[in-house]
Amino acid sequence: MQYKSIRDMQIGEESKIIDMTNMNNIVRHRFLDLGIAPDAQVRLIKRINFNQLYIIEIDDVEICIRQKDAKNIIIQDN
Amino acid sequence: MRYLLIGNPNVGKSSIFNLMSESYAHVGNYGGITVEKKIGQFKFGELIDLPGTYSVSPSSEDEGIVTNSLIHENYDGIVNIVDSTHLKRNLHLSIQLLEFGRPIVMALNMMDELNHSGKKIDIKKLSKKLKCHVVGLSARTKEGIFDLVQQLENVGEKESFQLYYGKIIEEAIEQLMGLMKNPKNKALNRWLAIQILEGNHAILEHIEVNNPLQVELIVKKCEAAIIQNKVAFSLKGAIFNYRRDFINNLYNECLTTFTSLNKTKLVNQRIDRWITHPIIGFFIFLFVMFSIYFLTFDFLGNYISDAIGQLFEQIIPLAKSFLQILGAKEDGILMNLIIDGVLAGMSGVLVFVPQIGILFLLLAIIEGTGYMTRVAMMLDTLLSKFGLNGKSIVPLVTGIGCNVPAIMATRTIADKKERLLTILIIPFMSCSARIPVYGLLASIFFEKHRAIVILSMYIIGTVVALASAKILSLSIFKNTSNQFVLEIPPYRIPSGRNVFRQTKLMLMDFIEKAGKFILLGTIVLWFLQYMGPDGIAQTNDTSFLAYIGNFFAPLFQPLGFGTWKAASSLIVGFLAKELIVTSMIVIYGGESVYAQAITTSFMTGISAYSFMVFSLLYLPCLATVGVIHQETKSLRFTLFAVGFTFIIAYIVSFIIYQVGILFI
Repeated sequence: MQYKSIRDMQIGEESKIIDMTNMNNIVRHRFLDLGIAPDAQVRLIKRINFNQLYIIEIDDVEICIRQKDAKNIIIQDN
Repeated sequence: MRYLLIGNPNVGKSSIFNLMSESYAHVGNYGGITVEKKIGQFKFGELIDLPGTYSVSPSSEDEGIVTNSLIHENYDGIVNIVDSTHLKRNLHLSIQLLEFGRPIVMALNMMDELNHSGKKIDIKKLSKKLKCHVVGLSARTKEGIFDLVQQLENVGEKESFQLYYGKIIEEAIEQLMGLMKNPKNKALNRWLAIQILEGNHAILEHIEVNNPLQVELIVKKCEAAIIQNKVAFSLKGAIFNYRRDFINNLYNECLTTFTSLNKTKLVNQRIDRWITHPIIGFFIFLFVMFSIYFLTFDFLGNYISDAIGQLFEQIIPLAKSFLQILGAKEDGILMNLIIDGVLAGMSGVLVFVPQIGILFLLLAIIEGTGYMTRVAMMLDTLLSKFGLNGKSIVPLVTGIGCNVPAIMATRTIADKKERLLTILIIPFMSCSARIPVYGLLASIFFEKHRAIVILSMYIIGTVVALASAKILSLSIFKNTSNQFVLEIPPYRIPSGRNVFRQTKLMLMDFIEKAGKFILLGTIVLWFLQYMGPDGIAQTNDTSFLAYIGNFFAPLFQPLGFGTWKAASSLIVGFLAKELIVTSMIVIYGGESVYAQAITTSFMTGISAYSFMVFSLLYLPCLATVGVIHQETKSLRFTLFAVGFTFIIAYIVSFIIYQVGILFI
């Protein structure tokens, strides 16, 4: 089964994070501190820098992440 | 009474610190580590401003300071500054602080913004649930600041706050608490146990446990049980989940939404569409940088600087006649020292204070708006090609003001290698102390193209910085972990009070530093060129300074300025780059004649240009070298930074001069 990640989201789409185990530990902890964690509701606001960066919204906070991290954040496929 | 100010980044901590503290603020060192801390005096004692952090468990240098301070600093309570518009995220840190068990006051900042967005917090309920004092306030309108200060008069002991982490984790907490050296302080031990389970490895450096191996075993077993029982994917994740559930409940109970209109967000996203646009945004960034530049050097700054220069021209004859009244001889040593040494040297640097002030002011305004975060995002893709990180842009831009705070600002870069790389290239960013060098030489040699010539210095600095980063990232600094995640704060109108305060502080710092170095430097310098091996030097060329300068001069011959005068200015300039100009004025014979003397000594514009480039790049000043060592704690790295900049400067100036003379 193909997993869906933040990278595959449409602009404005909302979903739930279900898995982040693909990331290395240091990066995952850092993300956790910012509220990016399994079960969190995430919305893709836009992609910038020629799709290199993803701006997402979690708990009313806008956060900017890189594409390589976005593809490691697995979300629920609605 | 002493209080620690702790909160997430971008919650207005510094604004509140400034509003509360009556008198600023000395800078001291944290216990155990030598990192600067800001201390302010307020009505009931002292406030200690800590760097912004998302969690007690550190993932960057800055955040390590918070753990360290909680444990080692001597204080009576904590002021937790919370952004009320981002309550959910902010409360994760608050819970860690509440669990710590020391007296705590929670200050909910930006209440006005929250109300504007149509929400309201029940402060009483929140206070009851969290078992601590809660004060609502707004740093922008100053509302509630007084209440906060009053609260701090007497915080008293705190009711204990405990969160239940589920059976598996609670068992591990129990076991860990049993291993603590000091079994009496239950709240502290529970906090330590939770921190250990959360993966706060730094905490183990601060405390002693009875059996470190046993601790590791408990953590591993707990993590395995969490994963096996499908509580979460990791131990830290599980702890996070329990906290989030608690916070969500709290949020729903204490927060009411009366209208669901969020205007700020819409406006923000509309502005961001242009600001972060890959092409338009980049031009906006260039436009902003050029505007800063021209406001500083062309339109505003120049006029004020000229006015100050004229003021000095008035003062010097006055000082002369005043000294004569006191009985100094026309050509005596004292007259010579004060007029041609100290006063001339001082004026050479002080005329640039207005320009530097404008520069600091503009940088402070831009920092306050939240624009730099957008720049960091926009340039991340570009900078990552050079082995850097979008976050490197903030220190690099700060470096235009002064390299010293710029190097400290690299603490926010989580990856060690990316941080060191940024530190290495910061000295190439043309700081304000180099402005006098450009100003002096450009006005002598490039009268008509002054602004363009000075601008080219900034461009050369930036290009050299990026090119060196690329070279280093391909050789010494390979394989950075390359992580980048950034919270995007909403745009804010910076508060005038903060901006002015910051500018004033930095400017006073510059004047104080420059004043000290210049006064001392000019006196020593003056003696070195007044005296020679045979007593009082008959001419400049037989002075001590000439001997020292002559020794190094051949080295600079291929760069176009192989005279002892140029060489000795550069040596003195290592103390502080402002001194390059001071020493040139002193060496070339004082305020009235130096311009002509420099022209005859340098001969051509191209060698003057090569000299300017060399002084831009050659060595970080002494203060910068000091802070590099302080931040990296490595003598080898510091020496490498010094040698590296010198070699790069030599190569670049060599090329410029050698290519230049082919055409002229």
